[in-house]
Amino acid sequence: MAASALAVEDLVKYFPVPQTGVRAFLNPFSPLTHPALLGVSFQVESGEVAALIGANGSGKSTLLRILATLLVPTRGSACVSGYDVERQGPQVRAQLGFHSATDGGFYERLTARENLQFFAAMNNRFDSDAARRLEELTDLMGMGMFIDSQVRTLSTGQVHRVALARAMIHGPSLLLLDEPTRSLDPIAAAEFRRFLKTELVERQGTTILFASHTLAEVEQLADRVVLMDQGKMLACDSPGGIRASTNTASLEQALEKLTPPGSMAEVSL
Amino acid sequence: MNSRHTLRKVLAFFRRDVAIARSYRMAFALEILEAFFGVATFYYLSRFVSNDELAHSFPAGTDYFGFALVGFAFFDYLTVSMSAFDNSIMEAQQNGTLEAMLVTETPLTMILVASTAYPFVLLAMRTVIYLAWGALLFHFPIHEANWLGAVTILIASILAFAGLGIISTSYLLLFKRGNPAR
Repeated sequence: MAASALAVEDLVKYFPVPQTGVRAFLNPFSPLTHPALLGVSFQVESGEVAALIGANGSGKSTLLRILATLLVPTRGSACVSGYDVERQGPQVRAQLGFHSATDGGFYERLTARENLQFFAAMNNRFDSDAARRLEELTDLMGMGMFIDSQVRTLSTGQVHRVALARAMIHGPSLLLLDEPTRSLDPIAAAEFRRFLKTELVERQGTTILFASHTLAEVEQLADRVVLMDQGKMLACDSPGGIRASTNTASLEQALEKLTPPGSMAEVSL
Repeated sequence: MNSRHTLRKVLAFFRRDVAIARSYRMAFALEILEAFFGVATFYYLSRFVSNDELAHSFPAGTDYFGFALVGFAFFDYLTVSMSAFDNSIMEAQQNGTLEAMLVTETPLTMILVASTAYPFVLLAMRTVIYLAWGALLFHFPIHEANWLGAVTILIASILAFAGLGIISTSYLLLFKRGNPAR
């Protein structure tokens, strides 16, 4: 049987507690006391779109960064197309495109095109191959007006588009997106969602795991919703399944039932 | 990753650094000018320092200017060997590109090594300018140089100092700040 596109098994991540001043001197090797993830397990099949939702600090970004091989889990395992993120980093990175929530991470003195060409080369895409892909993404992301401008002159939304294009420059089979439409205007966000659903998922069979605070976006895109709270997974089901299991009419009402009062304040409709 | 991909990636790093350097036009131009004027400065300074006693301590046919020029031209290789690795990581940390590079198909070792391509090529160009300028205008005895010996010692020194640079970079990656090699 083929491996799931993404399999997370009992994933645990602790961070050291930051200490300053006298405490840092008295206790330089602080214990692993701050839990970010506590036993998260779920699977995403190939071609599925899964959404991570939860309040700030619920562990969504930590989970995405572990899957992107940027963090090492404390316990448990995570596999991308059967490759272990901890032990088979190069194979995992060959499968995925990652877009972090913090916009940027570009060479500000270079143009958007030069930046994307550089990151295409980092992903083994060169010359005409990279140029063709870049043209496709330029059209798709509406970057034609600013592709040859230095990144330092671009607006936040424009940099965000370039960042999304970078995650997709090598045509990955798994996309990890942390708040992908956060800085986009409503029209661009709608176009991007349509592109994700029709072009990447339906035509190319790309698997997507994205974190979002926008429930409407989650309902529109996600086949599966992973609800997190304080590092724990509260539910993992389709939006319809979550509604049915909580006997509610909307995802919003379902989340209100499932999460402790006040913890979903950041989630918008 | 095959060797063709490796070379292309090194070239991509080099192009990136050239493009960034070119975007600071004045600094780029001054760096080239500095190489030309640096040699002249050394020549005239060495004339102040030179005396008969000092002349006896150098091998026949050489003088203080030659000694200073070679030292000036090649000392930078050791500095760059030691600092290029952690400079590249520090810059990437500051502009946020380190994370973006770490999720690509390029391993960290490759990122580190390829990031030093531009500093070393720039340094090689500067060395050529120093030595050629010194030989053409100030009678630096370049024809008497033992090139094989010089290159062998240079490569060995670069490798030794690069080791220290890599230790320093590891420290930086682990503790985020500080540099034990400086």
